[in-house]
Amino acid sequence: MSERGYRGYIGSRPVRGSAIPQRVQNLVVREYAQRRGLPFRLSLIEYAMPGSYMMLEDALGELERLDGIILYSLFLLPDRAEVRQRVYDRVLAAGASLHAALEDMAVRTAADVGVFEDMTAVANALRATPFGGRYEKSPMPFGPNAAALIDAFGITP
Amino acid sequence: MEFFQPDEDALAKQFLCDGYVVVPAEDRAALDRIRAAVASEAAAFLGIDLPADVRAFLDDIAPRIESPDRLNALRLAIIDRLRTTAWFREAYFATARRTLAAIVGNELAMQRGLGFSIQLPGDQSSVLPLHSDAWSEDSPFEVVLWIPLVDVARTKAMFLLPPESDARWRDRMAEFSSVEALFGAIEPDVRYIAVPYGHVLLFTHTLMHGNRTNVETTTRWSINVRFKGLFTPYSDKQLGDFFEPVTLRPASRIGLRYRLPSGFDV
Repeated sequence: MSERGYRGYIGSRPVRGSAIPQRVQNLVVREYAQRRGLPFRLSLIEYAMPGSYMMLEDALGELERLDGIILYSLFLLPDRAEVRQRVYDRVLAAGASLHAALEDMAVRTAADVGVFEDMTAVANALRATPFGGRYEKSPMPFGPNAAALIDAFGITP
Repeated sequence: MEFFQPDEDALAKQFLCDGYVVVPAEDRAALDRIRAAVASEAAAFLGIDLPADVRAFLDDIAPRIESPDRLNALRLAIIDRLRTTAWFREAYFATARRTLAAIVGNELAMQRGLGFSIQLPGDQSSVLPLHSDAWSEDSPFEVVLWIPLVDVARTKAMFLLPPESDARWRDRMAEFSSVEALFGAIEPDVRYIAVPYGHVLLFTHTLMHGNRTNVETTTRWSINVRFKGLFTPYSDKQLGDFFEPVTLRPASRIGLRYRLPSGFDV
């Protein structure tokens, strides 16, 4: 077994609108590593300031001493596609891998990047779809203007 | 104007009327391959050679399972086998590709995992109480593709409350203090859905459904996987952790990555 191991990476900001306790994020990352027999190295915790990826940068900076990085979720990666691409490039150039524990996915080769990016692109696009891509469990699941919108589309229940 | 093909339209009307459709598997070889994998894993788990008559082996497995713990261990072993079988998800989808397109759409998200049920005769540990998935973590935009690996009917099958009854009882649900009390009231209205092996069941889990103790003489084996329109609203089972895109189309792929020319704000 490699002595280098996999660095965990968890967040301090909401993930897709939900605040996930860091303890829970760590449990998900540890369980992912354990299930795959990946030697786990303590998680780095990203700062709460919007747009900060300083801790991710530190993790990328130590890739030569790691087998890879295990993200709590792929949605912890930077919002901008070109910045995410640089993350993938650095991981692959180091001969390492990038894992997303919650989604149970991994980038091990350049061919795997497309799967991560498709998922990210669709999830981002959902914000712009009707009802923000979200069904709320409430008496007005689509918000106060839903009736008018449904009426405008001529949809009969 | 009518934009749907007549067969699509008929299927859609049946789905809206009954809340489900039962259709022959569109790729029978794919279904047979799934069943063979399940039977082979079950035989390996039991430490026996796979019998030639797979259907009888699955139907009559009960005497070989000594306890609920053993049953659960078998169930988990099969789930693990299917989850790690590279062709499983494609094969599962292939059994109902056109039906899913007619009912849900052709740009789909598919559940990443699967549900697997083995319901032995008389076993109360595998009973799934009355529920609607929309009452918990699921979006009402999802459907369930439910496939038995043996013939199922009566209590060996699952039950569903038809849409008209479901709407009526849903409005009165707060009158009941327990699930069993609610089931007692709706029981005359529920429909046990017979599905012969070689067919698949597609249903909306917004309708109340579940199963009861299997009082037939043989064992039920079934798999369930959820599908939804890729760009329809999600609930707590989200894209990524629970669903993944399986048929993202080229136009969407282009649109998702398109950026307007920039540099005009200097």
